[in-house]
Amino acid sequence: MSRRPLTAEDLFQFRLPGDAQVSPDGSRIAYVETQARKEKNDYTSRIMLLVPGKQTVPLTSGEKDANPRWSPDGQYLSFSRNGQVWLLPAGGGEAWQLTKQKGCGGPAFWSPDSKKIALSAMLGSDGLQPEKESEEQDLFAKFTSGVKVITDLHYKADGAGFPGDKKPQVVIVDVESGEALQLTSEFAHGNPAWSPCGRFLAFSAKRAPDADDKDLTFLWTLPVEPGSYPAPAEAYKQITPEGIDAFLPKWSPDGRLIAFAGRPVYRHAPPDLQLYVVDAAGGEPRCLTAEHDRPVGNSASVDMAPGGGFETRWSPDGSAIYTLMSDGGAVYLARVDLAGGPITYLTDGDQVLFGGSASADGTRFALAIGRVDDPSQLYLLENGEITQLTRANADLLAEVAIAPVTRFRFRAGDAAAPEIDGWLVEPIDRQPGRRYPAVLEIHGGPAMMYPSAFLHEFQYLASRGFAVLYTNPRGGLGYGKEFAGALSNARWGTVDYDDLMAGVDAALARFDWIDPERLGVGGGSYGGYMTNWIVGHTNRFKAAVTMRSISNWFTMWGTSDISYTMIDEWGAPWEEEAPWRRISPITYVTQIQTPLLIEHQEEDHRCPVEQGEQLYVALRKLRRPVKFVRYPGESHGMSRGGKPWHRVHRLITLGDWFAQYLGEMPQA
Amino acid sequence: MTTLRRLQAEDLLAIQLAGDSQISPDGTRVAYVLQGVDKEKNEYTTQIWLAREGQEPVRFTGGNKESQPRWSPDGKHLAFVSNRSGSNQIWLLPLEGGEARQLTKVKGGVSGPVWSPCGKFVAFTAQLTNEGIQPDGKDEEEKDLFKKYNSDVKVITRILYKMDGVGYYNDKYSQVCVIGVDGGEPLQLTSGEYNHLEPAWTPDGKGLVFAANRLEERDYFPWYVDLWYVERTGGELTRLTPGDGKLSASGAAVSPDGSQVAFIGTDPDEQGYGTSGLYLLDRAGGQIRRLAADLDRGFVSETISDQPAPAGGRLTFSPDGRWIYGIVSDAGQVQLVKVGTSTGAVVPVTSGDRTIHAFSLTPDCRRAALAYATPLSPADIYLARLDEPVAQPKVANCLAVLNGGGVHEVQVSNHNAELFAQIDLPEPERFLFSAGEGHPMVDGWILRPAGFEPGKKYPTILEIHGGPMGMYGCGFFYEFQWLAAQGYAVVYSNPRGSQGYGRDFCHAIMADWGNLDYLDCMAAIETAVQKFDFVDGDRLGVAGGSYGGFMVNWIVSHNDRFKAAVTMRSVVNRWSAMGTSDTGYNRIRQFGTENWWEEENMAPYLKQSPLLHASNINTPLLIEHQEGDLRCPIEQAEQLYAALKLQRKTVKFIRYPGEFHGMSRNGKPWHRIHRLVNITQWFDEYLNKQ
Repeated sequence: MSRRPLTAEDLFQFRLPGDAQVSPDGSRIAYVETQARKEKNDYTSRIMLLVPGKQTVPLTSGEKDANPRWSPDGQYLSFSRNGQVWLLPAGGGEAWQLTKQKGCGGPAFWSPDSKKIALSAMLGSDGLQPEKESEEQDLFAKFTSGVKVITDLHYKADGAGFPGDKKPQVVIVDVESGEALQLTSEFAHGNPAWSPCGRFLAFSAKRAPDADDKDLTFLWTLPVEPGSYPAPAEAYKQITPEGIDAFLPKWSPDGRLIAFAGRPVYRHAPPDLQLYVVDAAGGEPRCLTAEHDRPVGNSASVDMAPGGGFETRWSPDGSAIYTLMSDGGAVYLARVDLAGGPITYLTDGDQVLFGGSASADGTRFALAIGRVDDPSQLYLLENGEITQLTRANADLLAEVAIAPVTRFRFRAGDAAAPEIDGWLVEPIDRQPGRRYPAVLEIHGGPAMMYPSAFLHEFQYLASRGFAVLYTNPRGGLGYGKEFAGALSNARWGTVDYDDLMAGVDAALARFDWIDPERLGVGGGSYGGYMTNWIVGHTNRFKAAVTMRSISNWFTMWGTSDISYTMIDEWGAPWEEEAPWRRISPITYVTQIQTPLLIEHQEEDHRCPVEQGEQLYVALRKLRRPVKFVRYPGESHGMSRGGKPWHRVHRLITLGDWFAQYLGEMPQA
Repeated sequence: MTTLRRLQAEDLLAIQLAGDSQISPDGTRVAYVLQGVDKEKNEYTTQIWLAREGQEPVRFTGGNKESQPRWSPDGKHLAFVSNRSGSNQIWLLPLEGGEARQLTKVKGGVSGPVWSPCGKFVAFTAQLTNEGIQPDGKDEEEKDLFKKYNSDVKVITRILYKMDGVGYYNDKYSQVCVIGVDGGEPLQLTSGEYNHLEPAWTPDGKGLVFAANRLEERDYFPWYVDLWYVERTGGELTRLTPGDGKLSASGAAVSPDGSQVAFIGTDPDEQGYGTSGLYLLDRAGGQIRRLAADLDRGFVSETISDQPAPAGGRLTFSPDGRWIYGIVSDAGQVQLVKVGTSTGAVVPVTSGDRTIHAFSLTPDCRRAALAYATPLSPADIYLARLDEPVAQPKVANCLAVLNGGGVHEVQVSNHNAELFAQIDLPEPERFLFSAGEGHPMVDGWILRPAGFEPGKKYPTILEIHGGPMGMYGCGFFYEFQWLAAQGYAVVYSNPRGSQGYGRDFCHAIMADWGNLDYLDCMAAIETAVQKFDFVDGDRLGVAGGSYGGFMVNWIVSHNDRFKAAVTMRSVVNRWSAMGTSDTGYNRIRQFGTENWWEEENMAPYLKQSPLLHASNINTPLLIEHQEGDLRCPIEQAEQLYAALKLQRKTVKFIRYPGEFHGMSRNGKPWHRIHRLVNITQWFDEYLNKQ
């Protein structure tokens, strides 16, 4: 065996191709390649040009260029650089900066005639402002600019911080003159989409005052020339009705219909998104995926995802819609026929389709796909044939040992319980006859899905001699509405717990080389919640790592950026005997005997650090084996997109914790 | 006739605060620290100044980050701490002229210089890792990228892992060190993962007495602070106090004959709701006596002020060992007293409405340098002749028990004279009240609005102090004057739970917040409405910080008397604060329970949590909080804000980044101004509409 073990620092080696954009004529593909940088402790991204059969070349020279988008006439490629939209002549020449207002970083949505772009910009009540600040400031303003004066309910957002009075607004930029006009105002407006005639924009918005805790996100349209800018209130036209939260509109080629992703609104509704169409003039939406019962979009939880997604698009004849669909641990490109009938998957299972795009005629798709042994490569899909276009990381993947991954299925209890997907990552260099420690990993959400994909964390643990077991217990996405809704109505810590424990039992039964006396458990966010829950309810694990976790709902509802939405479901903790106590892991702390590593990010606005603090102090008070690691300046998503060296530190720290309590080297 | 202007928020930047007054051994001069604001840099300056009777004070050293001036016993040198080398080090300035020279070069800096009686050594403390003293110098840039980019990660295994005002603890602990004045390497006298504090020399110069908690489980038992002795040349530490955790010791001073150690002791069973006493330890026999127990007042300054000047002063024995000098907090005043070492008799030395924050005495105890605040003077320096009594009138409407003191005093600094001469500053008036029969009398103050016109009615703000175990003092309070300048009358008081009124008065509310204290606070405002006809009972506001914020939350969730409220750095959920506040877990003993997260133990925490009453809040509420507050973490405010916002109540939330709990007193100057402006804007919106 000459391959070396994968290390935590190999994070810096991986180049991730993604956000593949096919030129309208289908001849060229622009894509983004991202890579973590050691010396600067950040990520660099550059735009590459790929012409099948030719050498791939970097198209831009910036260190952080992203969001390439071809103009429909193929003349320009727009991209994002330093928070602004730039244009590159597609036929060669230098890029120039198109936008010059704060917040106008793109991505750009080209008008059908290629003369304008629409984009979503974070704007305050003062509207569009020049990119460069005036330098004169009085001392009061200078030294109090960081103070946050808050009057909204949704006043912070994990990863984005505190937006102040800034909300996403639709801005229209003239490509020739660079003139920018603010189309929408007051409320938040997102996902702009041009009508085929170019005279209207559709978008999703919650156009209701003081409604942060209400599900009132509808589709709206506005004329591109509404008479004045921003558009007057009477110019807005509501397209979708109350009762469905609607996002991501896309007009049909004939302009008669709008496709969108939506979620029905009712108490205890499952969290998955369905594909709908609605008359572009407004009306009752029709769900196209109800029977198929799998969510649209990419719900896969991975830690090495490339940039970019997939914009839902229509076939040129308007008969079908292409979208991503998450199903059973895989993400597919799906074709949904407007006329009904079965939904067709155009890509294989056992992989994750991160995103991509298609040529104007809809015949050539460029797609970014990840597999268990390769984080991401680009592929060309044409006439049902798929061809690999990139060989990123070829040297690295030939040099390191990638642990084999085995899929299996199990169920908790009798046939009434659903079958559950599980994966087992073997420790590298596993020797027959030896027993190995194993770590159960639990994904967040819970409305997420572990996929058949490369996870650096799992491969790293495998490289240190641990088996990694990961599963998709009830409450996750990709298995239908009933499955996803299994934890609603405050049922966290019930059937999900059963499924996770059954997964461990099934793995022990199937993989007899796993040492049942050396089991660990770990997870982030909801996965951290379940880790806390598990160690509060069983001592079968000898070590645990709880990350960015929820420990106490009694405070979480008020401290998290979005958890107040749970009050509708669970009741207000300040006035009724809500289930917050029963479903909070802190309630069961006294029973925790498992050595616990608590890892948290200090700028986590989703599961604030106070959650980790409460758990830590309670366990420390009990003199239990516990350690608390805090990462400053990081949000909830650090394990996926935080400072690279923090991610390395995190991997090593959790590997060390398991090694300390489970033993690292395989035992004879 | 008056051409006086109103106080402005930005006047805060111009005020200078004098403190840490150190009298020269001959009693003629006072070295002191003057704190000011550099408004361009948005930071504080501290300079060392020299005052003497009959002359204008002069700036004495060159830096802007200098503190802790200490005279050598022969008066020929002044030691002080300066950052001029890049870190805080001790420097020596010859009084006969010439520039200061750097004495210590200890990596990480030092503080608290103390001269040995012979003048040949200086003891100090330094925050050291278990590597001990390392030479000062610039750190090389970290080459290992993993270390460089992860130096900010906090890996925590202690239960006491953070401290408001300090930050997150690392692997450094305070160690007692000593260095020869003529040069040579410093010697580290203590070691281990314990903090060793406040070294005091024995009169023979052979050793030092200091305070330390050297328990392995010190974080769980923080009150096990004993006095220890170590020889100047190092060696074993000797514990002087019993080590039984029954008395937490600090501020030691050794008697002239070396046989006794005076110290401040607190009884851990009181959980901070008792009075800190003066104790005398017999070194030979180990017996400990409490002196002046009947006084029932704390031998420390309990004053809560938003103009905190540099403090200073330690227990001081008279040359014959018969008296110990120290300060006592009493009914909003802080006075210098002396206590007979054999008789325990308490003799007030000073008198009148003042709060002393620094004092030092000449070796013969005939002269003292005092630094104190009075109602219209934030902090200045006074030379006192302790051997010249001057009778002072008793302060009216005041619950002080220390009366009859008074000595000849000369003010030798007056740094705000010019500024204050331009400004219309009303003077607070004391009044007494009680919550009714069976309830104790309580000290209150009312400040009339600037430009007060008899016959008019004014919106009035009730202010509530934090702690609760502290006291509003009778010194200058900027926030109140700012409110007064904006046309508000201000009522403030020391309700039950406050210090300065004896153990029972303070202890009355332990683990029972929102009961007797609530009655006192409401009685304060109702008394003011009754007693002062200019108080408009229909335009009342209430404000407070920390525990005072708790009480604001409690009041607005229990009555609708106030038309607007401002709750600052407040306590909302005492249950979650157990796990999130720096010292939360230590409150277990107050509540008499063990594991607060268990069902059967939750009740007392929830009972005192205003959050549980959030449905009853109707008063427009401004919630102000500091994001770096480790005492009352921001999660407290977030819960209250979300609860009110979800109910569509009138509420606003202001968050100050990068600030600790004490921002209103020592935060970034411009943040403090922003805060003041926003408080009055909120009250203006709901109280000042006419």
